[in-house]
Amino acid sequence: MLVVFYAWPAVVSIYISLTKLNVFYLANWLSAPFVGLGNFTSLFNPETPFGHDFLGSLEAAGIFTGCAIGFGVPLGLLAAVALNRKMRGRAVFRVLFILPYAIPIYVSALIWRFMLIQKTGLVDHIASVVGGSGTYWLIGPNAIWAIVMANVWASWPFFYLFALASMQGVPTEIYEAAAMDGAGGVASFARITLQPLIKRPMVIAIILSFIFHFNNFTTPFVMFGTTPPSSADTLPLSIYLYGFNLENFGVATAMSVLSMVVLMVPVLFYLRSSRPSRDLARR
Amino acid sequence: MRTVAAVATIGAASSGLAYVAPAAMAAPHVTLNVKMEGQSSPAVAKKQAAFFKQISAKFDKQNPGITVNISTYTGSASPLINTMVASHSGPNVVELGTTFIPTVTSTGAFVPYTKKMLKEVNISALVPAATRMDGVTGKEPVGVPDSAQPFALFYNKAMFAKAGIAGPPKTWSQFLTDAEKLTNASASVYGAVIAPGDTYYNNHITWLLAEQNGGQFIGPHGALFARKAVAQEVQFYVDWMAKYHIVSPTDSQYTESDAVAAFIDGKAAMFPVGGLYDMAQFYDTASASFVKNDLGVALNPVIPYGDSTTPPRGMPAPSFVSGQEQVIFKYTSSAAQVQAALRWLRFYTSAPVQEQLPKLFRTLPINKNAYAARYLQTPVWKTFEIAEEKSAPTPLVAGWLDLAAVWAPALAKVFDSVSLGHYNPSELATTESSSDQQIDTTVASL
Repeated sequence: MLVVFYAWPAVVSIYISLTKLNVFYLANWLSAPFVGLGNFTSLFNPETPFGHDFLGSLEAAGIFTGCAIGFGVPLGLLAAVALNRKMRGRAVFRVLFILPYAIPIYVSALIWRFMLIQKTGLVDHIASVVGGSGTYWLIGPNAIWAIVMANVWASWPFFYLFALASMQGVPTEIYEAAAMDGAGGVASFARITLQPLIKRPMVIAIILSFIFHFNNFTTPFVMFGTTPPSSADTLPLSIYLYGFNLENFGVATAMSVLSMVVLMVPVLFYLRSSRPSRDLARR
Repeated sequence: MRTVAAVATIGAASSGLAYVAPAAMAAPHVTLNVKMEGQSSPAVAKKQAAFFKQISAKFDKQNPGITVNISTYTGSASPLINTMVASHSGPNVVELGTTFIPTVTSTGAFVPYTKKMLKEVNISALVPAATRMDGVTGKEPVGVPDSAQPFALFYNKAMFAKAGIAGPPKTWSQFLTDAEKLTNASASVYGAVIAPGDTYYNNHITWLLAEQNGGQFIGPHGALFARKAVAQEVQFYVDWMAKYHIVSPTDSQYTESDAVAAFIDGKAAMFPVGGLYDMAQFYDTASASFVKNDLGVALNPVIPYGDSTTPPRGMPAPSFVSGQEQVIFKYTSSAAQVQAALRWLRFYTSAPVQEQLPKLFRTLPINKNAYAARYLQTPVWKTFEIAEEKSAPTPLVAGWLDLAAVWAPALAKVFDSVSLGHYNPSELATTESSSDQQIDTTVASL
């Protein structure tokens, strides 16, 4: 089953990436001209249209993923710390914090699109109240920040859930003992909560998040369709454009293979992190 | 006991075989699998399902020996077609947009219609313009149209009356004059609204303007955006925002539905090259009084800017051929299924079926007799009917999809520059020549 559903498609993808497969050869795709590493070399040459698009998309996907993690982790941790203690209205906040994650990405991306339209969107109205306005979020260089905002808003509760679940597994006795030893709130958080106890689950959350966001097709597609501004043309969107709009399957698959290579890095980290620790393994 | 039963069964079977022998010589029962474009709105999808159930029962009754199974797909046809072609599996008949027809022809995986086959479909009963977008130039057609989606000019009658303008413009020069009169930028009201951020809109409008001016997007040796007849029309379109300010700079962000929403809100007096499919948004989101009293639908102007008549080689087309076609998939269709498909197409394009399409899906029939339906005798439907009759086909070349995919975003970036305040006219010339090169590279690699 693994061979049929995972290994075989991967092998076929690698083969197609070495060919000039397009709509004319699709019916007999094995007869597509073999071009060796030609697709890959053009993708790494910024002077070619393919290379220009691919390298730009790689950069956009990097920013998109980096921001989702860079903003999501601290936000999630702060929220988890705040709601890990007993307080009034905790249940309400817990529901509110999960809400962005519970809304389908398609819906949240559409909402953000409407909010970011210049002149009629909510963001521009708020900006005009505080003295600024006129920023275009959906065109030009700011478009990447539009998808980043929408994505961070929709995905930060993932880290919050991971952090809160991990924190709730920490026995209160440990904190009480630390307090008796004179540790303050910050020291307890840094040396008990963060470092030894929730670090491991958070690392796993970051790895999973990297894979998800690097592959996130929905948010940019819903916000911009298949003609996004260059700044927001992330790799999954670019692959779709080359595959299904330009019908250039060889180049699109070469992009997919390179995307797979990038994603192998967090996957290897994930496999390493999810392995039982040596101490446990020895038992 | 088992032995007795077995003997009885064999006996019955033998006698049965002997009995049914004459029937077995008749044509075997044929099942025809048809994949139609699904409606995305749940309410309309429900109506569509009921409609398909009704017509498939009728078809089966009229065609003993054939059972039609209709299913639907939503979203782009491209992934479906690619999967079918690569895997040699899928339905016998597929409905898809005219844009995909040149690409589908290029795969060689669909049955070309011979003249005899088209006669069986009763192609002569269809609107001639609709049949012009059926394949690739020089090859037999692979598509038979089943509905049309022409384009028109939407205008706000109340705003026109307030500005003292008698009626919709007939020429693009008049369009500009009217739009300037209707623009009140300080109140954020503009003469027109456009949708440069839309995947298709830039292609639709620039192709139409260029065609009317005698310009071609693509010739035998490649893309021709930099040629004068095309370039001056593209310049005119960009100048609506850059020079004449008859459209809002915020339009660069707009998809077609955003543009329609701005038009409904009274932020613009005209929406040129709007699709029949936009009517759904008018009916669903605008007030009943807006649709009844304010919404005007006219043919798009056909005389290029600065001209008083159509120039030589120009095509006075107010729309281009657009709509849905049905294609027969070669790899899964036996000769009997191809014959069944022809009967199905004849049935689906017949007047009794076609006259139901406008009220159900707001698409235009392609059977000439269907236009006689009483509820289609309104100015709006009549305008779309004329637009369809006078429409011109977009290039029937294999690279059409690639051309559209390159050109629309390139032009969108020019509009972005205008909105962001760093546009200069040389940028447009660069965009045209780089699009020419990129399309030539892409088409050459096909």
